[in-house]
Amino acid sequence: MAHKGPDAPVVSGINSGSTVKLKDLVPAATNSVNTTFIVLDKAARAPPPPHGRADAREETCLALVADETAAAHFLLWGAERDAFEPGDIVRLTGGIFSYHRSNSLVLRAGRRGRAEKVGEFTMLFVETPNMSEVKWVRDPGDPRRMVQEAVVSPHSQVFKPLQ
Amino acid sequence: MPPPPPPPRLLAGGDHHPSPTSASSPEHPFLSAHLLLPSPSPSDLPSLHLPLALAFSFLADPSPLPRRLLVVLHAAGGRYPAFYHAFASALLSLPFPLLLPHPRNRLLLAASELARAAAPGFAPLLVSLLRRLPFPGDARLLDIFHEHASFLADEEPQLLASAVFAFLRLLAKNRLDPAPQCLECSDCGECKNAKNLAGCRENLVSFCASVLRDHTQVCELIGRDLVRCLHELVLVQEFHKLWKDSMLGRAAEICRIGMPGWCTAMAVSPEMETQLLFMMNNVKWGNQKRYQLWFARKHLMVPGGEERIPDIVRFICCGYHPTNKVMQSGVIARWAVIGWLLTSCNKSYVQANAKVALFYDWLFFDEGKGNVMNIEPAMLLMVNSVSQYTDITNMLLEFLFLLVENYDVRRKEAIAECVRNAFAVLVKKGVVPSLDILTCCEKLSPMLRQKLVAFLSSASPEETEKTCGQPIDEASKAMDLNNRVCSN
Repeated sequence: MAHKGPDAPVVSGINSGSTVKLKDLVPAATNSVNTTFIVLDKAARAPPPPHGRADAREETCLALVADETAAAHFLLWGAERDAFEPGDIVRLTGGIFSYHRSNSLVLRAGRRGRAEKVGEFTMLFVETPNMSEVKWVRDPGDPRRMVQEAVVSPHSQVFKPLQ
Repeated sequence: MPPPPPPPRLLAGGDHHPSPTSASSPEHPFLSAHLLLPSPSPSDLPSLHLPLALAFSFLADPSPLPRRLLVVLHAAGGRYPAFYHAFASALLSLPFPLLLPHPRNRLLLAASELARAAAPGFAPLLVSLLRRLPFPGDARLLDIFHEHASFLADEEPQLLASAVFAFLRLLAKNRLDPAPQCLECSDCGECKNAKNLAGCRENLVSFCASVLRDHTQVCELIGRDLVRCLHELVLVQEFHKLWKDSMLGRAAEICRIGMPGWCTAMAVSPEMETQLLFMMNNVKWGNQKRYQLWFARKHLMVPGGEERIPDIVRFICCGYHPTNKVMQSGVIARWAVIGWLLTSCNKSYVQANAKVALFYDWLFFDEGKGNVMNIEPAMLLMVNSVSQYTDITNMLLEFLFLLVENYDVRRKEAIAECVRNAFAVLVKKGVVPSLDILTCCEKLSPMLRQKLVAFLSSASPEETEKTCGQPIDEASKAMDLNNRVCSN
């Protein structure tokens, strides 16, 4: 049979196999985030970078995603921009939560991770806290770790809450 | 040796959907069974994998359908009583909106074959397809019902009535066209010849008219919503004639029958049902905005979507009665969902039909037989809108009086009595502590308030005539309502 058993890692060897909730996200330069969230909103597409050739694979679009514990900004790359719509439930395996370009903290699949639509609509979520709107600093006791220093905004400053 | 070609796909989905080899794909059990039994034959009958493997081959094998698959299907069905059921359940387990065109047409073929054999499990499969109307290739569904109408009238009357209800709703304005299909199965004659119901409106009308005429009792199982459907189609000549010739005299009797559960399910697609129930069971007050946007984008802001609102309102009133525990858990209430749906109507005839749907059970309310939960949302929507959205309360109350006076002028007094009854039962069962909340409300239009007081206190027909018989605003408004309710 072709399948490798339930929850076989899609891209083997890059993720530890455990699943986290968004509130437990901590910025790190490792592609080890496995989580499931619902897409709340999608921004207009970012224009292609001014320098260099326009390459659809490099174009991005920011999305607001959330689960029942927290929200975060998710950066859609290339074909992901059309694959996911608000209301889609997405499973991310081997993703990264880190700083991208001008200091914005985003979750993304990265080159080795994978985002898949696994459902629609039927998931509860909160918009506060937003893990991308938190200021993180290195843990004085363990410089390899990041700890929360301050909340920049209780909710996304890019996607305002609807109420 | 070159690697064998990958097995065909059943579901749409590119890089960002689980692959069929992943356990989370709904296609996965089918593919696993197919890899074990790639070419099902009579020697595989004892295999537990046969229902899924056969379903896979049935849906995916290229055109024309290999005859041996039919042989295996009926051989297994003949030998094992549970086989047909397992086969039909396998087909039902696939997410229909994601089916590729070829498997979708084959699913219809399988449904047709199961119906022809009157195989156990064919009815739920056909019901699920009726709930998905319209979809590309849906004309085959009409063929199935057309072919087996007499058999179904005797053996599966509820199924035949469901089909009539589903087809009548489809005939109501703007709903016939399926969503445009971007993917086509271009290299197969079977799929090229698949027709849409949009192209056979005449056949659809004549099928419904003939079942209504020849199997009237079966259609009456639908209850009062049959009359509601026919009112919306009164301008279609066949239905007008049928209405005048045979239904008119029966209408009062039919309207005494509430909407049965199997019929409420027909009012919405399974996807709509899942999402509406999720909202009303899980989403807390204040958090509903985004869910409403997603629901509207997916189901209402598509061709024919807005026209479904009256049926969604019926589904909420009659098809979902939350427990007290759910009602007290802080989730969004039915009346609030309906309030949102009413404000989502851009077309005035849709809004009028949605209000008819909301008050429909009031017009025929019978304390002994009627369920207070069917009439509760309209009352709570009126009462809870008073303080902030008085316009809504005024609009609904005014509409209720319009209905009482104009819905069926020959039975005006009976309808008025039912509506008075409905008000009384709502108080008696504690839905509202008293009607003072409306009758003593300063914010409400004084004229409507007066009218309500007079209406509630009028005991004799003469009195009702005096207080409610006069035009609410002007006669043209009543005419306008009539036109809106009946002319689409």
